Amino acid sequence: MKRGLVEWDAAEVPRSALEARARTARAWGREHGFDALLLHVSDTHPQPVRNLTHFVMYWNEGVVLLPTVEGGDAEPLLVYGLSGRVLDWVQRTSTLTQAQTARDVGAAVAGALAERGLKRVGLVQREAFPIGVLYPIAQSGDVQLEDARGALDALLTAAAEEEDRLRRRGGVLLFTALEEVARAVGRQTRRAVAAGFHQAVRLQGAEDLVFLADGPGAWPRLPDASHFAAGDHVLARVEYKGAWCQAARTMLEPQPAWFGRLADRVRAGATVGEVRAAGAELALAWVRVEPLSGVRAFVQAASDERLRVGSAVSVTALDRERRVLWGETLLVRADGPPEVITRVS
Amino acid sequence: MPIPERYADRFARLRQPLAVRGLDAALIYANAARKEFVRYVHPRPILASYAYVLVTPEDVTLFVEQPWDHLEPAETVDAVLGAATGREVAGLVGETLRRRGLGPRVGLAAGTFVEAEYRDALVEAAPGVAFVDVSGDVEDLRLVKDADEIAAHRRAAELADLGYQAFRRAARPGRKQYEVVADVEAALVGLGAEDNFLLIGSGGLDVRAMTPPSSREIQVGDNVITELTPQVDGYYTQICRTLVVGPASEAQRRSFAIFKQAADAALAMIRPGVTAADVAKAENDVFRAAGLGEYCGPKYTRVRGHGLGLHFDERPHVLEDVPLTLREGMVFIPHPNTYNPWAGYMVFGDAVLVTADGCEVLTRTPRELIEVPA
Repeated sequence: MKRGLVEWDAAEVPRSALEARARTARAWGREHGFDALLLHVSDTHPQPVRNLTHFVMYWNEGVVLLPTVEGGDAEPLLVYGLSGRVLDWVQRTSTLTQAQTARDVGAAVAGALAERGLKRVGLVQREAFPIGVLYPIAQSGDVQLEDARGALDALLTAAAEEEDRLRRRGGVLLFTALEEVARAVGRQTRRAVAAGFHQAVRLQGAEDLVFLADGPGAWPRLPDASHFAAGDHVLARVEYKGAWCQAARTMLEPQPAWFGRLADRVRAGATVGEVRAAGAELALAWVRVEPLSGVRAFVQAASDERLRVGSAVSVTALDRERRVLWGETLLVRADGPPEVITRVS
Repeated sequence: MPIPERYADRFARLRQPLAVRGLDAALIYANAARKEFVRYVHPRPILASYAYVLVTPEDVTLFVEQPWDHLEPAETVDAVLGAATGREVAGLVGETLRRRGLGPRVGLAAGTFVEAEYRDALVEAAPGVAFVDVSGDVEDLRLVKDADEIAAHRRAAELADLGYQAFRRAARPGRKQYEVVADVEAALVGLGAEDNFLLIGSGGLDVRAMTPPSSREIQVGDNVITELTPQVDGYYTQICRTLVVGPASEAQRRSFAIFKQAADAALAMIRPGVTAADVAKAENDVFRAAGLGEYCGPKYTRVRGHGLGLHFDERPHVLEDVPLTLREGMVFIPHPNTYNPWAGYMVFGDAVLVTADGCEVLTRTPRELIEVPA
């Protein structure tokens, strides 16, 4: 559940930008013969709807129904499991004006589609729809559901510049807080260090975060009451206005040389499998490659997935033999090695 | 490997419906947001975004993304199998079902949360297996807590009280909502909370609901409302309180008296044999008698309480149309939280354990309208 600052700052994300994205998505839908697009949203899968409307599902789940026609009855409708009482908040923090609360989100979406006579419907990121939402829509009879992955790509492209700016802000928060974490080595318990990290990044406006820590050689877990020591591994994530960053450190150790060689493989057009294979060449125990742009964050990508210019990817690896964990959030560039956005000079 | 004694009854009860319903096994799913079903059979935190637990009459297997397959699993698990991606993990589950000859009917708990991509991979790898929804069976088992679970709720209740003390210290005029929450979160993490479900609101008649924190500054005279729900060893325990910055106004006192009376009415009603509907009616009757009946409906409030456990919002939902009968060992929170036109949105409630002849309030924070210096 998100319990950091959740607010819409129009200076950071202008209404005009969100409206332009909605026009882009609608135009894509019309071009491909869809009457409407459906986007699923949850606190663990927030990004497509965030990019479209700025709405943040802080817990529970919902679906945004976006008719592809302009004007008239074309306002997007949010069908969600939260109380209807939060509609004021939804309207304050997003471009959404219409919302319908439902215990069975899928059935309510099916009803809304039928009521509006929308027949050919595109699923934006079908793979992320939970069955409990998808099946009631699919089984409603009147609707022809098709994959609309292209709409997601159009949306991501439209939002890329802004997401990049927000992620850089998150990168600074994360880097700064990790510097403070390093200063706590030898002075506190892991749990106390985690508490300090939570407070520091939340006071800077982070929307959500994760902080994990463990001893040398281990993949980090929930911090316990052990003494926080040199050589401990830390893995931390910060979400700022929907854009996630992740970094991992081995306390008081410099970045290992192998990480530079691993990161160097993060090139436009390279596959995730190639990056992981580089980890194997470097004799690393585990390498996780997790795309962060626009999709479910912190899910290991498939081996054949290609890295796209401008996309953010978290690369984290453990050298178990030398007991070093390291990770950064990298931005894929058109040429050359990636930019590290979780290290600030 | 035999299930450890402390979980033996849990697994015996879980396996019972498998035999009755002609199922070869139960497959239990977790994603990043909904891990409660898996936590029931794997009483350790799962940090991976996706996990499955396969429970057969003979053994228990955890399937999880790498590298979490190398972490020590819970003592209930016989084997851990890992794969690189969520899709590959789903495929591995399907292959395992096929290889072990499990099926044609396999129970699936939390199946509605399975994402289409993983469902596709699972079905593709296990053709011919029909997945039968057993979520309700597992939820029924989870309703009544055993001694270990109750102990965890008690530990979480201690943190709820300490968390509320932090909230009370942090809620001062001029501080922004998200700054208050930052203090509370830091306190709870420092005390060992795994997670926390927290909503907040501040203001007067303009506040219609609690939400995540905003940058609104707390002002003298505000109602500052929160529901705070730390998770300890998997179990969430909730407390709801209304705090007034400065001396409460007459309207705030008069309004809070209704909430207190409604919450007390709920406590007096709760015992084995009564229904969730009875508890909701006890709360709502207080509001109706005060001429505030319209504020008990969905326009102004979601539920009049809810179950607590491995998720922060479980069955039973306390509503007048929910006939679920309360049993000894259930843990839930009755909370008559709603808007009213006298003083705005107020919240008040404590987690309770249903006992043999009534209920025990698990939290210790004074049951009163809290005033802090302006």
